[in-house]
Amino acid sequence: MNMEIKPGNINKIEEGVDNNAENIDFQIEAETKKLESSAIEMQSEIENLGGEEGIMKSIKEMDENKREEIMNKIDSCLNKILDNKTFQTILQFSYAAGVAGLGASIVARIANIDNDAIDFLSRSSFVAFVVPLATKMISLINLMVQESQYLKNGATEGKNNLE
Amino acid sequence: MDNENVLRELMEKVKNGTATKEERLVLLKTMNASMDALKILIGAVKDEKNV
Repeated sequence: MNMEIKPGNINKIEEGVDNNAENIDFQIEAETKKLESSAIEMQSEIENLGGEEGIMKSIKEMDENKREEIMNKIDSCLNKILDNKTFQTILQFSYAAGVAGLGASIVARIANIDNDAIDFLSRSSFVAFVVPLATKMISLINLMVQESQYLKNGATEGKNNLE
Repeated sequence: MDNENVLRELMEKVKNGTATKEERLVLLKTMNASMDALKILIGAVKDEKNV
């Protein structure tokens, strides 16, 4: 994270993003399609399950073993987010683009997730961990549905400040 | 700032056209990873309700 950031060495510091322009366009298109497909599917599932209220009710009523199983799987997903250098990459690109304050926001985000992870590890209360997480995710899914079009359009219309 | 607000802020960059392609890709990957976690949660709720 302390590596000096220069536009030319992005490839060297991020394993998950290929800086080849053509390949980036391809990856953006693929990730966007995946996200749009998932968002439509999940939006429908959420509605079928009684919306946010219905989902929260079911989570609270689950037996403890089931909760434990879900927690392990969700933890695996959170680790995937934290381990793939995504957040470091955002920090690096934000710095390169000169976006004031964004880096600090991402650090805050990491801190939030770490707090969730600490709650998870303590296993003191499933509801204390999973319910807030689920609430965030359901808010997130609504946000994704609303905004996914911008991400798709951005692939062709946005500026690449590193070029 | 909570996670959702940070994501909103990043998306604002995309909407404003100030995000780089790399930032958009990173954001998409992050959102897809979050979506995977949501799918697990929804799947579990469906099992619970025998839907």
